[in-house]
Amino acid sequence: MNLLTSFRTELLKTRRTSLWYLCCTAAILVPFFMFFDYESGEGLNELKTDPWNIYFRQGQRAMNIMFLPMYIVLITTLLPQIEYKNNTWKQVLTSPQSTSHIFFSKLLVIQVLILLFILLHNLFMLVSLTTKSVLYPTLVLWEHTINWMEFLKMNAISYMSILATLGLQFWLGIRSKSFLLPIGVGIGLWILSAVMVAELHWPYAKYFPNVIPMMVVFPKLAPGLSTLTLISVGYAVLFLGLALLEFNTKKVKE
Amino acid sequence: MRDSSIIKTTALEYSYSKEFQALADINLHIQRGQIYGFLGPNGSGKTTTLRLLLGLLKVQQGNIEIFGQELHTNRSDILRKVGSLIESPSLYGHLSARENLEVYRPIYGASIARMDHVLQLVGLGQTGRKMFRQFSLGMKQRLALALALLPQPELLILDEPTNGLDPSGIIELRELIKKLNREEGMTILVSSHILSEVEKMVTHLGIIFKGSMQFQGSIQELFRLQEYSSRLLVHTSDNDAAIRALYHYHPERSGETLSITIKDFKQAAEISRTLFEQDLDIYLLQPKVHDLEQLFIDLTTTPTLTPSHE
Repeated sequence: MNLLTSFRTELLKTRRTSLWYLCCTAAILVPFFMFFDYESGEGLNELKTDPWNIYFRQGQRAMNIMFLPMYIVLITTLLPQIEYKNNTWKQVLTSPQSTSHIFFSKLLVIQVLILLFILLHNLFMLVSLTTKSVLYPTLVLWEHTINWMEFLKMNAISYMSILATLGLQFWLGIRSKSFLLPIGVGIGLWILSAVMVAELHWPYAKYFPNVIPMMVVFPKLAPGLSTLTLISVGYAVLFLGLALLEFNTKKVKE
Repeated sequence: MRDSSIIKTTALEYSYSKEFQALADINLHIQRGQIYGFLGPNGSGKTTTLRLLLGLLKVQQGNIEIFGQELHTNRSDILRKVGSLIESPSLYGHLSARENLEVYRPIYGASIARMDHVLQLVGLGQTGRKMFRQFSLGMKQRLALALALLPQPELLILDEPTNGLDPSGIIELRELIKKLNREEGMTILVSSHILSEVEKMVTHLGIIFKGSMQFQGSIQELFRLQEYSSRLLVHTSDNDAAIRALYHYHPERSGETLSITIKDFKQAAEISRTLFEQDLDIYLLQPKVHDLEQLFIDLTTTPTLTPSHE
């Protein structure tokens, strides 16, 4: 039994679930709100100078600060809930797959959902900006180019910065029968992170897992992007390691 | 010579907490080709035993061997040849019958033809896109059975499979179990808390009560035990004199009658003769053969009265 087989079965379980609708809805929110932004002349004038890069940079900020963390909280809760809600853990665990395969195949589905979210977010941003250029003829897009290196780096940083939150929330989601607990903890930690960054200016905030996605989009707050992403990856390894250990030892999940 | 043992547990024990020992010294022995009824009232330890057999609970003490291999070290190999239905159906409400089986088909390496076959076998071949959550309880139970049969298992473990089935569904299931055993040579372990539900299909029985085995053996051995524990009801013109005359039969007074345990009807004749010789008028001499249900109740209410047949 290989991991790919387990992954395919996990994907099949998500058919007709709210996860895919959530992915599309969450990805369209930032482009949608940004479409109605820049109504003031000042904002539009600034955008005209380098429309692609400014628009995508600001989109990434909004995504990283709020929408991506909330999306992570929701998908890491909803995916394991498929088993809890249908009372199917016992059938899954008596099938001839190792518990590690079950764990990693679920984690892989989460990765697919995150990458799809980022892809759709960029696609909708493109649609949002081109539609805006139709409405504001002074916004001439073809005279400007996108900095592809910055664009790819931005997406990679967004992905890596969220791994710490992902690790923690996946652990909570897979161990908790309750739907509310991981969501409550996730929202609570997000609020705490926002307060830490915006109000308290706590010097050690960058070591707080949920703060990292906010800090990476404001380099002035915490210089050293590579350190932040490394901290995020470190947390992810720690949380997922603990989650796997617990998943392998605690057999009955009901 | 090939060992025909399919399930063998040795001194299996399990505790949920220090205060509550769920299983004590369970020595199940199930041979290839048997239909083994695992009986006991609710809370007696059946599901805990089955969960241990399927690796859903970690063995604390004792040992489990399935197909002659240790469960702990050969879990995946063993589970590939085991179909199971534990308590309520465990399937996805948002998927159709076919999609639910499709989730597990690649895991068991089953073919599409096998999937279609098991769906037809349980009468769910025509449910189309209807979601599992829209199924009746009986249909859900049948789909769970189809899933258990999907890997063409050598061993089928069914925990209370008749839950939610109507009487005709129960009869159909019984026939299906016998057919699978007869035609496909499947060894079947079926648990229930109702003896009458399984007595017509099982070849062997294990009776568990408060976490320990009260009986294990063939259905014929259970019938012998039933004969052994038959009773004779006696009422005479002088019951006190009758008690004295029959003291070596250990009669028990129960209102106007005396109740005496007899091994066979020959003993009833002996008792009748003794009473006649004592010049006592016999108003009642009624052998009361235990039915299996009564025997099951006795085994699971007064466990110390009967020895374990293992």
